[in-house]
Amino acid sequence: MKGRWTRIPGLSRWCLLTALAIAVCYGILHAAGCRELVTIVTGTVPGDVSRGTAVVFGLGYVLCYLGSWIVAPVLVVAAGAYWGASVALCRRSSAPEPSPSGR
Amino acid sequence: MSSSSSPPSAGQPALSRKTAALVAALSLLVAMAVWLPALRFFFEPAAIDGASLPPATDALARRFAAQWSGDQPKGDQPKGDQPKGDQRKGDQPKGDQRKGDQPKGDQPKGDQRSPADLAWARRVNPEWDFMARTYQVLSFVNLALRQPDRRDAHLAVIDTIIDDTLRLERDQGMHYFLLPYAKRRPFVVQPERSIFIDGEIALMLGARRLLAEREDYRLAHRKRVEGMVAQMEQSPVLSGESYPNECWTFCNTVALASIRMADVLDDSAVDHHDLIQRWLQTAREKLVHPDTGLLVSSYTPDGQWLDGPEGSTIWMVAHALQLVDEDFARDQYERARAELGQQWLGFGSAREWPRSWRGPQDVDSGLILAGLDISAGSSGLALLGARAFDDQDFFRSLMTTVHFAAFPVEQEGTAHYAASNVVGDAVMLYAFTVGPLWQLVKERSQ
Repeated sequence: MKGRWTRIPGLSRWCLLTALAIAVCYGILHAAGCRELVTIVTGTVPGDVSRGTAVVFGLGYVLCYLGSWIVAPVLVVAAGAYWGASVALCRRSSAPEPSPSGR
Repeated sequence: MSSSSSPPSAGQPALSRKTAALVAALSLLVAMAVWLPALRFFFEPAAIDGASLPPATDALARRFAAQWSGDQPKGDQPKGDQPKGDQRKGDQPKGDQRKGDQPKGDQPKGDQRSPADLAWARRVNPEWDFMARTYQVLSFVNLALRQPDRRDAHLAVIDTIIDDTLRLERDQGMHYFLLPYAKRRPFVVQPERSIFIDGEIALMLGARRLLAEREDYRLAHRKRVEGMVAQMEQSPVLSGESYPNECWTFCNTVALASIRMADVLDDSAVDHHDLIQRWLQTAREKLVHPDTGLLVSSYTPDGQWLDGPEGSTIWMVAHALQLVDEDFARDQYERARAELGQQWLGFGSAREWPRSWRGPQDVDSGLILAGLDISAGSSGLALLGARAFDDQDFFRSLMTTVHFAAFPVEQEGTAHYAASNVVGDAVMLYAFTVGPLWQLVKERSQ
């Protein structure tokens, strides 16, 4: 498994790990019930939290939500595209030069 | 992005830094081209025709019904908060709605029976408290017409809202629901009346009476209509003031709709057909923005424009006009759709201003996303316009945006939108349920 992971280009690995980190953050905030704190964008603070908490976790939730739906999937697809392109280009550049006679 | 030029597998040569950067950029573009057009499919609702209700309707209605019966879900009581930034409406000076700026005696005393959401709304903007009530009443009337088996339950909510609103207006005066600048100078037409308050209360009363007659509401509705008509007749453009020296197309067309309801309900009384026709004629001549053909949003009682066309006004205006001139209403809707409606990658939204007119961001427009030119206020009311005019394609795209960006929250069988507020949720519920009430008025007027 580790061997396969190290064969993935560094940029693709970075994209995948970033996407995973965003998704994990979103999952944690969602599981913690921070979706309700998004009301802070309209200036409303739910009754049992302080304004500071609502701002941090409400806006954090919005960022992670948008990151999970927009940024993370783009990073995953880009990681795959970059990996595929890298493999194809490297194979092409390492293929033996055809001889002048064509054989 | 440029750091990696590691080999894809051992033994194969690495890409040059330049090639790697180019491939990375292309990969990102490809990923965006693949993902962004696909995003809509995760949020797009099934097609909803005018006879069906969107799935969230009942849960949204239950939330409002629970609030009025005092059964608000635990932890759902919002803390009072103050408005952010500029809360101007019309030519109101900047900062007019800042904390502690409300005149003494204008605090929300006497609203202990109203839901906490409304108490919060009125601290931010008293109009929101009032308009949320109007849209809730209209929604529950439509629900009662759509769901005859639950008619009595809906009727109970309607009467609670109307009685509470009338009580507050009686005890606190009309300024209770107006922004503080209404007290800065006298109304031009005396005795002072706000057609914003009278029109929406008359609309609530008329809608309730169409569902089931009630004698005290009949008298209150008639009296309210007589007062509005007297006020409108004193203006060269046949319009009542909402605020001193400030007439709003929104409020005056709502007033016309409520007058139309009174004519339908009290067919033996005075018919206001002539007033309505004169208003329409005057509006076409004096209140239409020439570049867009849209009605302007505010003007003085003698017809001087204060604002051009606005999304937060025109969608409701077009809907209200459906009761008095169907062709003019559709013309206004289609123009608004062309000038203000936006659809990107399956997501719908609406601008606050057409390209040929730009006004200030204010309490009506709500938050405007710079660059994308999306107005929260206009987009919310566009849902109502799209549904009222059976524009299913636009409605569906707007609902896709609602599902994605309004953050629906379900809690104990009720629902609300976390990125919205009580008036936004009430507008959405009305947009979901709209149809039967207006249809009933049209049928009874034939």
